[in-house]
Amino acid sequence: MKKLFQTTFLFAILISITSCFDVTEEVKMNADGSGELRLNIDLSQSKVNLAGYMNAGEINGVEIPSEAEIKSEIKKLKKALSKIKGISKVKAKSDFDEFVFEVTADFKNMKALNKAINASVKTFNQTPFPLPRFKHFSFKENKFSRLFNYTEERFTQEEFDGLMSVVRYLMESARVVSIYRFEESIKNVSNSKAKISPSKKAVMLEGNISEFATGKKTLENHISF
Amino acid sequence: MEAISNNYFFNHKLLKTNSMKFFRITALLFLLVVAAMSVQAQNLKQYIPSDATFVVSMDLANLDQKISFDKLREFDFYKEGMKEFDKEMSGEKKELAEALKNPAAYGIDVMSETYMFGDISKESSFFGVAFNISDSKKFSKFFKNSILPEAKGAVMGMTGKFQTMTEDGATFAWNDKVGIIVGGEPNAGTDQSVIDGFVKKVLNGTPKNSIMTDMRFNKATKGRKSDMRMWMDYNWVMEMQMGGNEMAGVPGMEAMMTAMKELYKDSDYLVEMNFNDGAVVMDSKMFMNKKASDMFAKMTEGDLNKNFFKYLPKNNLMGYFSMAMKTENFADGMFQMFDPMIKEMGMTRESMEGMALGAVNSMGLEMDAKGLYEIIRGDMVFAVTGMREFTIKKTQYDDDFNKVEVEAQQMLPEVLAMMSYGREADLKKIIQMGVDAGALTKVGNSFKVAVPMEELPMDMFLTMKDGILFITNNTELATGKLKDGYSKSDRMTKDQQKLMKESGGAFFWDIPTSLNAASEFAKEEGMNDKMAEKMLNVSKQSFESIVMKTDKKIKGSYNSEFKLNFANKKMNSLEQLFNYFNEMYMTAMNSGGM
Repeated sequence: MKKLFQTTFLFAILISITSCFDVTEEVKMNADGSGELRLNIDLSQSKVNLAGYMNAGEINGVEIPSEAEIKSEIKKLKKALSKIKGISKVKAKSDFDEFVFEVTADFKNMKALNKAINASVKTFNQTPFPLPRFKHFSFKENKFSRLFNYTEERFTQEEFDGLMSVVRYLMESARVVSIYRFEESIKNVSNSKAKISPSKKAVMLEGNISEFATGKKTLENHISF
Repeated sequence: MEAISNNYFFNHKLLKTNSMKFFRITALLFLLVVAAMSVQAQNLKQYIPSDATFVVSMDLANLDQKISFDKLREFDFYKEGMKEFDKEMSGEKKELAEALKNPAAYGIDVMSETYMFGDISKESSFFGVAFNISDSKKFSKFFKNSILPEAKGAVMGMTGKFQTMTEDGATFAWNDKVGIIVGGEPNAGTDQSVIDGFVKKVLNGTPKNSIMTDMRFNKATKGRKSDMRMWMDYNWVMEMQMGGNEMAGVPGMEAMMTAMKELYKDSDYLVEMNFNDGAVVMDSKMFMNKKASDMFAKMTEGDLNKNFFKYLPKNNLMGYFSMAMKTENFADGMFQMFDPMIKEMGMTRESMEGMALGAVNSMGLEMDAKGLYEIIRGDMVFAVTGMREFTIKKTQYDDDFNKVEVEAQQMLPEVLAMMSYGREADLKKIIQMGVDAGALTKVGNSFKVAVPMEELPMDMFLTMKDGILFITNNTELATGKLKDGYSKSDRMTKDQQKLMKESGGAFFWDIPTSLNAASEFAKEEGMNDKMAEKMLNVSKQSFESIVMKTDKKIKGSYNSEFKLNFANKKMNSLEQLFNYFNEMYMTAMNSGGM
């Protein structure tokens, strides 16, 4: 039931977008375990349609939030993040011409980073169901880990194939990108799909939403130095 | 028509009533019987009232020759449909369920004439179905065992030569040869007795008081043979459309509606569908009164500029739309049509043209009224002439995974719009105004349209040559490389040229070429929907093209034709259509559903 509701909501959002969109998660790690988080959602490829839908106020009976409402939500997120111990310099940028939204913040340690991610998800949760809290990152003894334990939220291939073709198309064309930057040189990464920069100071992993939703790809990555 | 029938007939309260089991059964029977109709009925047509607003017929015997019912039963979608049907009917008597699946076994003559008709007005809505009975004993037995027991509270009687059973506004009537279902519902404020009157009129029908005496119906349908046909009184369509018009309070609208009703008075509309070998053909004819006919004939008069064909290629042409029209003639017709509305607003054609001229003259264009209609003459073509590689801006990541904007190549449709123009000097002045306003930039002998790159990832050009105004993203054409167009051997085929030349309006869509382009685009974008890919492949293999055309000359009726062409020219199109549906159905089922 929860998945049905989340799928319906996902559909309602996705149906407003007829082209690709990118979600980027970027973490810059310092050697002492602190760092900088950047979350970016780029909807610029759908900007013409989105502008139209926002002016109309609804699409297919689903209410589309206004610019003021979105700004209010972003302000809420900024406030929620600022309250977390270990989180500082929270900044939020929203560009309603290009439909690019970004939140950056400094974190003192992994605990604060994980709380920040959970708070972000909680702020944007429009469903009546509470979302579980996860541990998304860990960092100890020369090892940085991106965890990906969202097994219950995944779709089986059958469930995915059962979605409407337009939803499948949108999930296949929407990208998720994760970039992690480090001060030390990377020795090893566990995820075979991850790319290491020539400088060996950055790791990138990307895929479309459908791949992560069905478990074909995972963001899980253990990076050692 | 579809909107009207949805509003007034198929969503009719009578058909949706759940409380009356008898009527639901009768409605199901009626729906199945609709699938077994034929032309030619002299004796059945006598039961269609002379003032019927629409008549539908289908020649199932003809269709059975094109694809036998036995073959239809073999299709997976049909088998699945029957399973669902059996589930729906599981609460009903077995005989009734069987009768709906195989009416012939219960004395209903499915291979001969049957008609569906209706009379819908503001006051009331009536409908009827008349069919032949092949075996009266079987039919009587079926009726007594399956229909009668379900019809508690029904009133039995006799009307004319028919035995009748009436319940809740619907009457089932039969004799040895003919069966009729007739009923209706009065709208608010109308007496229930009108239904009885309609029923009596139908059941007492004779050749002399039926649609058989309607001159317009006979003129439209006489001697015509088709697999499916619908005739309707276009007066009725206009009455219904005008009746619910929310714009009635707008100044001039009432006069406009009255004029439209007068214009379409005594008009009929006929649509016929034939499943030929290799193509499904749908013909429509609008029979109009002389005034309307003359007006439309004038409006659609025009010729297509033959020089257009120089710039339309044979290869990779995905589709086009053409119109052979004269702006002045079209304007004449529109002003004639809207004259009552214009007058009610206190204006005239001259005053409106004067206003337009005033605006045009103030921009520095010296023009008279005729000049207004000469700038763009009216004949035009819009075509998608292939796919072309365009440079677009894409966001990528550099070596250090920082976002950068790069230029990339992408295949996008190549489009071309051509219009004939008449006043070159004036048109050049208008274009210069576009340049001065920043909307156009001069590039050689052409003009680039200033549209933001992100919204249109290609350059659009505007250029003029030999009386043709081009708007295109084909840079070769725009920059003069194609100054004489394509070579004769590379131009569109003679058949295509003939279609465009001889039609008032023409539309063509090359299905496989377009689907190939769509498929390539999807692959480039990283889309990997296996089911969609399979469906695309099935469609590419099955279909060849869609062609629509309207007649250039109006003689007696305004005709148009829609043709769905299949790749296989030898197999009948009905069989190919069912094969296609079955393939799509199986693909969807094997992929987990749509």
